[in-house]
Amino acid sequence: MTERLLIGDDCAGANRPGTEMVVSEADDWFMREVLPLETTLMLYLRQNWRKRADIADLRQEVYMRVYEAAQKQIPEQAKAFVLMTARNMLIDRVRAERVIPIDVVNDLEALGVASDQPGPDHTVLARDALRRLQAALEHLPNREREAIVFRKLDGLSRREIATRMGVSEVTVKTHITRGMRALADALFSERPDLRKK
Amino acid sequence: MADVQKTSFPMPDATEVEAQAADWLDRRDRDDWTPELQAEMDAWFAHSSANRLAYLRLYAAWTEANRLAALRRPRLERIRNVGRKFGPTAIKVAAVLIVGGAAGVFTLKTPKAPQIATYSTPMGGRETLKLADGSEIELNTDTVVRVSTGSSARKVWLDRGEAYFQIQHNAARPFTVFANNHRIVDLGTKFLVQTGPESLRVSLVEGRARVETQSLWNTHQSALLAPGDVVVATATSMSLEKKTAHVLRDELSWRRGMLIFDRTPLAEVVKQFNRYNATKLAVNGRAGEIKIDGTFPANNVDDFLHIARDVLGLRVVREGAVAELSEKELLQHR
Repeated sequence: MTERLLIGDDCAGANRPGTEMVVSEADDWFMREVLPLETTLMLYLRQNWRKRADIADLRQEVYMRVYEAAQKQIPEQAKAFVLMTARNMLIDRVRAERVIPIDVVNDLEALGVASDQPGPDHTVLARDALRRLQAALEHLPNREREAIVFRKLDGLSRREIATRMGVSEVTVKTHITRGMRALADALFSERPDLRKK
Repeated sequence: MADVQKTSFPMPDATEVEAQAADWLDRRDRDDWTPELQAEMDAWFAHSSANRLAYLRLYAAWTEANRLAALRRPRLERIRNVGRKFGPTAIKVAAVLIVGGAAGVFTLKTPKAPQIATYSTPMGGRETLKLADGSEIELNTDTVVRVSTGSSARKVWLDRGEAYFQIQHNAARPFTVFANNHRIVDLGTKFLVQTGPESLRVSLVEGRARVETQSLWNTHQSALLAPGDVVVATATSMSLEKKTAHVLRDELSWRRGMLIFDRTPLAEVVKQFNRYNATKLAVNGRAGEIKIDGTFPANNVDDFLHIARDVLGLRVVREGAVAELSEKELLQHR
């Protein structure tokens, strides 16, 4: 398995120590090919599984399955592979539970699986990234937004942020980690049509 | 497609994993990183690929968020003030348009003298009656109503089927629904009435209403309903239960042409489909006990049969307008 050093681009905050990470080929494939499909995957899961509370776990399981496969061999067609994996997982689940979501086979063509051009999802993501991030930032609670802005835009340390905000470092940590998770959801999961409003 | 091995259960809780991943990313992002912490994080990674993937996901987003540096302060202030002004309103408008466009809507002219008009829907049909006073009656499949709107009283007889009422309350012109020898008196309300051969079911969604037995020879019974109350009334009894808003919403899914099932036995699912379609489904033996969860267009029997065969693994035998579902025998010789 080949490994390479991944370094974030050199905007403020990116060149802080600790932001680089050694990634494997499968890691790289996961971030580059799979994460941009998350909007599509979530749409598929939401359409085919009624219990909203399960969705995060279902997504996790799909990721684990495709990652496991990618460690042996990188799939050629990421989109088809991810969605077929999701479909098989749902079918396994309903068989195990004998509780059948009857629209589980909502056809994959509707999601454009057949034509796996290396395109729309990536370009849309790139173009939308800043807008999505902006919108996500805007929707964060005030304190979380403030902490993220200090960290990402001003490159301040946790201690500096704590001083500026007049709160404990533990509180800053809470704000930052919540903000991180919200940004990831905004970037990968949210449907663009909803974000635009 | 390549074989994907089944991941063994139980799966780690995704939300918990994500929280831990965020903690690690936050620590990793700071200055005081040590080899000991690195070893600890590696051990955490080794524990489950779920951990590594959750981390990679947040890491990718967090790196991507460096783009925010392009914004800097002044612009960010501006973003903050461009509020959510349009969000919810736009959604509401869209919802209204969808509702308006969903079913055939037509207006009834109200003559001065009480005059009774009959309206009906065929099997699989759905209609919305709009009364001149703004009240609406939505008829589900195979339903018959008679409507009388006089100047002193409004009356509707639900002779067959199921209807959803949204009534503009007017104390001077009470609105009464008659069904199965019972009377439902509106006190400003939205409610669903389902008639069956033996009983009547009234579900109150909003406002208040009173259900009364109409029969002359029975003891007079009545119940005052609050939102979430469901009354099942037979000729001799009346029982009341409380349903959640969620359950009531599912029961009204036919207004969108959908059937919603929530751990519903196949026997009941089949009954529901049969209300809407000419092709009749029958389910044999133990197959009737299989539970189903999901949303489905009420009038698409073909899709449902495909799923019964491909996903549930049932045997589907179709003859003319009847389709029979049964479990495959374990030892089948071809």
